[in-house]
Amino acid sequence: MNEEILRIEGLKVYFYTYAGVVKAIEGVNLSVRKGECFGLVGETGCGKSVTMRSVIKLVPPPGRIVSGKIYFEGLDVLSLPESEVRKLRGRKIGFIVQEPMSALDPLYKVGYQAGEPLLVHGLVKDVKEMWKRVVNLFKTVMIPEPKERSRNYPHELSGGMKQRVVIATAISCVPDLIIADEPTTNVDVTIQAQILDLLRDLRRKYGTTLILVTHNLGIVAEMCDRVAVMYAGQIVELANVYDLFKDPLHPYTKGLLEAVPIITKSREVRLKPIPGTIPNLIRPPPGCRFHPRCSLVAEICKRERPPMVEVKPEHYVACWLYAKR
Amino acid sequence: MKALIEVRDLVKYFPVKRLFWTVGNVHAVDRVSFDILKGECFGLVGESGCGKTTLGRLILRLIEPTNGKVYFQGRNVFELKGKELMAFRRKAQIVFQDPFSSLDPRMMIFDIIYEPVRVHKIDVGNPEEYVISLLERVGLKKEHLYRYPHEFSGGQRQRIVIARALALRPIFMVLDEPTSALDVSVQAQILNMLRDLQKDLGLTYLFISHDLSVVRYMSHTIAVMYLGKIVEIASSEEVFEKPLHPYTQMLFSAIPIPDPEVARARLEKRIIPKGEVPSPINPPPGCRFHPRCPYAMDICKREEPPLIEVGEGHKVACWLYAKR
Amino acid sequence: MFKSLKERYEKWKFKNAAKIEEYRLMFYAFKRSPLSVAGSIMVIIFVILGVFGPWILDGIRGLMGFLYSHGIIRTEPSFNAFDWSLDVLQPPSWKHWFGTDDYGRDIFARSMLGIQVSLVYSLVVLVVAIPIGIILGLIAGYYGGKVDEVISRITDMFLAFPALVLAMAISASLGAGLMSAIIALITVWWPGYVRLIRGQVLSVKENLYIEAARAVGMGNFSIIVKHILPNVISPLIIYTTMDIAGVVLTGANLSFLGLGAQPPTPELGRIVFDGLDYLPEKWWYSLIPGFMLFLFALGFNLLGDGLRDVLDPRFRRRLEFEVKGEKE
Repeated sequence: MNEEILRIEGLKVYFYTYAGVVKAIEGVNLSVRKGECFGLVGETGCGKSVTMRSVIKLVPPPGRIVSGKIYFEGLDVLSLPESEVRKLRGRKIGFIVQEPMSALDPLYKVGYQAGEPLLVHGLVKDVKEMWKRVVNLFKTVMIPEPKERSRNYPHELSGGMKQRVVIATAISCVPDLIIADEPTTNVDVTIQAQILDLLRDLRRKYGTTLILVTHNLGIVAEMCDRVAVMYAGQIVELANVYDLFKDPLHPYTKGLLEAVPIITKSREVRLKPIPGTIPNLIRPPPGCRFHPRCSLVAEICKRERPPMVEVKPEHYVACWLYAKR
Repeated sequence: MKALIEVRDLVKYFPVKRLFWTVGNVHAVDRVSFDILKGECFGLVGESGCGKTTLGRLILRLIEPTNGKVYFQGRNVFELKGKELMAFRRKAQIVFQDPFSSLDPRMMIFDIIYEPVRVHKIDVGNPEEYVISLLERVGLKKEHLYRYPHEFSGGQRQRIVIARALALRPIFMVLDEPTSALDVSVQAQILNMLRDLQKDLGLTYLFISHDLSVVRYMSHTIAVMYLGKIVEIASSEEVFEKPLHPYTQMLFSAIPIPDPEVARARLEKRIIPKGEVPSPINPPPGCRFHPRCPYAMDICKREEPPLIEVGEGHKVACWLYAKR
Repeated sequence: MFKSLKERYEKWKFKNAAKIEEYRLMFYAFKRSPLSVAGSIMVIIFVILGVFGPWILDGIRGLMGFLYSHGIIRTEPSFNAFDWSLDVLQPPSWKHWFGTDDYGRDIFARSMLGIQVSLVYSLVVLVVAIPIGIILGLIAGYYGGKVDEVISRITDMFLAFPALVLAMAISASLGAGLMSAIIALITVWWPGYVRLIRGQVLSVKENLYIEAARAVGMGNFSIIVKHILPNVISPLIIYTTMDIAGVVLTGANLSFLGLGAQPPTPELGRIVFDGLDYLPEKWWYSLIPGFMLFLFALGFNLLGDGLRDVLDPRFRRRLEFEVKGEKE
């Protein structure tokens, strides 16, 4: 259970645009354990999606992985040739994308799309067997009338159904790791509950490791075992979920928790927004990238980037409040 | 407090056409009635397809109703013409959800904000100074006057949209998911700003959102919509502490709460809804929610429950509470 | 006095800083594509020739005369575009750079003038057809419903005919000539613009800023003029640029069939037509003007392509290049 399934070391991803070089990911380190649900939290633009796409080497141009190492089940992914990485995608690592609307090709039946990984990775003898497996797959993701639905086209299905098809595609080859990139962002709350329930169920049944990328702290609290908080391309805090919410150490984490409207709080408790905006990553602030917005900023924060230190067992922060100068 | 807005039996059907003839109707809003008091923030909550967006637009008469009335300061909005209609538009404004398509990409910020003033030919003194004062009120600077929308972030654009809505000095604003497209930290800034504006300028809001937590934070009164009908209305606290309608209960239990202990404890009691949200084209007979309701009784399948008051301004439309 | 001038300049700069930035960006994006640059150079040349054709011809004539009288060149070229001469069907030479036609007229001179004719009447056609197309497209797209049905069906009817056939029919019934060719082309050309604009209007209409304008109380006419029109213009520019080539080619076709410009008016298509009888031995008669038509169309098309990339805001914002080290 404590075995590591994924490790990212010193990842740097830059985007080369006409306006300049966007230093989207600047030195990210994390490790995910087998069987756990790992949450990657951050706002739009913090780089969580890009980090996950790096794991399967699908960073869209003009982005490029500049440096770093990614080990999946011991394999050095970044040094593998494309043909080898392709063998991982869909087969060992399933990726659930954010927008079910555009993730499905409107010209093909959904059953075919969900079963395509099986064909590509040679896990079925022929198309007939694939269709048989797809019906079972749809049953697993709780699509009612799986046989009929598998013959439908994407536009004939509702948003919730489409997202289940996307999930089905990701799990079709029973991967060891599932990366879910904002799987419920554009979906209704009640459908979201169903999908999260499904993901929990799948984890229970197959023991799959799940990396959940989201900006919703509530989902993280509900689903994840350990959480990493990202800001402007860097990980600022990493802890187990109870510690993170009970005892947030990084000012950004604290800020986020106080800025989110929580249904249990009364109207009278005012939200505390984090002043300022996300920095321009072409000219990121020197030192700690959060310092322009931090109420506890010190001189050193403006000069040097704080290292990640273990403040409590399994609770890491990258902040000068805790690191020794 | 007198009701600023009274909605009475408002109906809006959108015809569904195949080729030339109408094969059915989308029951977007189906006989909705409620009041909005002056100075309050009235929250309208519901999932996609419930009709809340349509309702917001109907109240401002951006679409014509199929039936029903909306009284604004005692006058029926749908009967206004000419100058009176323009006067109404001056007093009632809207802020849309999408900050990216709400601003004409070819116009400069100054023109965008000043346009309403020009259209209504109001005298506000020096145009530039007026617009700058609006910008400063929403937290922007005069340097932003002569820039184009694409140079701004989502949060800033939303501020521009709000500044423009304020240009006519309205007394009522419909806020249609104003922060749904924004990040958490920016959302908090905008929400607080909206609250302050309400207090400072004595505005009345209709706040539409699918995010219950946000609606709870902003509103005094909340109405829950499902498939074109209002199923529950109560004060913010009441709705949260004592949700009566099964759908409201289901909604609340589905919201993930950012507290791991609480969240996991709730998981036990969560009511996972069955099935999909049915299409508003052929709503189920009787109570619209009955196919997914864990408490559905016989009568629920046959007759629509009326919206009745069960205490202190708390109204529900459910056979569990209505007398047969 | 100077101070207030400087102030006003500063104010203007402040007001328009954003616009200037946009144009600079567009220019930069355009420069990047060698084909677009080539296209724009060709277009510029043709436009200059088109506008100043006769004067340029005179200028060259004068220059050649000067060079001849000073013994720098041996033969003085002759640019007789209209006068008949005895040098009938001569191949290209120093005297007649593109050769002569069956009346002994200099083809080079006729081609130069022909460019002017082509350019002028394609502009006339577009200047009339485009506004018609825009107005109808705006109305059809914005109002929808029955109005849209009527306009669209009529447009479709016109579009159902192959452009050339329809133009021929109209032109023939009006009597062959440049004017009737122009009328025919206008009739054939406006439906394309209705289609284009209508499509653009339909997508622009969905934007929230249109609804916001209505919420403020703007009437339909103001919304169309102030919000919809500026936002549908950019594809129009690209389309028009490529269309000039289309009009000229179709016009040349008409002339080629004998229906357009009548002798002695030099028009590239007409010249090609006239030279057909003499192929393949007297190749210069048809082929050289034909090649010029080709270059004309090519130039405009390349320019249009380049503009299309440049005017697409998303493309502008996502240009990538090899970075020479980190910027700033």
